[in-house]
Amino acid sequence: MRESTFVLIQYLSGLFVLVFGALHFASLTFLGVKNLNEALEYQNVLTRYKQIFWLSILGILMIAVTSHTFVGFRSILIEIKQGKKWELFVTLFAIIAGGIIILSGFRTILLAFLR
Amino acid sequence: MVYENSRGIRGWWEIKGKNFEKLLFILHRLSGVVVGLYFILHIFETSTILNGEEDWKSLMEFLKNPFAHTGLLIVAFLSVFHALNGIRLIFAEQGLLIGKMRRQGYPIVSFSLTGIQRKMGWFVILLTFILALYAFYHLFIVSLGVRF
Repeated sequence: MRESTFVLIQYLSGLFVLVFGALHFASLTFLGVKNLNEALEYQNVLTRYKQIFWLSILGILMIAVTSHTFVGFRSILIEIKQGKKWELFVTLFAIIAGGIIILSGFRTILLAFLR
Repeated sequence: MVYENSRGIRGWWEIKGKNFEKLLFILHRLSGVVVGLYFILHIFETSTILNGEEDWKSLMEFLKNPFAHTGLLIVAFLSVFHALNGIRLIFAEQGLLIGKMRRQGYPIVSFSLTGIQRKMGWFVILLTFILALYAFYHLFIVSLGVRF
């Protein structure tokens, strides 16, 4: 994958995080709830997982944050050391670690939805 | 092929004599690392919902204290800064709002990021503090019931 593709992923995922992250924070403070305490009540959290709208937002947000995080970590690790083998190792690490996070997140979303 | 003269993350800390944008760069990197690590923990933290109501309530009670909320406030502050500064960086990297190019002369000063860009940097910091105050209000005054 070309370096410009990673930069594009970083830009796009960042913009997605901005929009969907703002919605996530709003849902924890004032959107559909009175305050943070109410938003974090078990039934309210579970209800949100069962609504397709919020479920989609959480799913998209998770993919965007994971992509942004691991492309960012990859850039930092490549700053520490350069070389083709290292860059390949770091890229694979970012893909595998990011994949594990996305799978873990989707497991929570899916199982909570099915509850 | 290994390239020479790589300062890696050591180069982040070389701020003596550097400009305002270098400081924003360091803050951007640090905030990214901290928020990224928090996000990974957050994914595993939220999976507690699958263990049932008792476990979820216990976790929420455990995390409802000034120390944990201070941590959340720091994460909120860094997230907002990272997001707003990220927008500024996208503009800068696309060559937008960076000011006009000028002929260099003694004393040599950087003209590369002037114009609205530098003002945007200060605006990012100001807006970050304002939104962090909002987070403080929700985390401490509303959630923990702190009164002054």
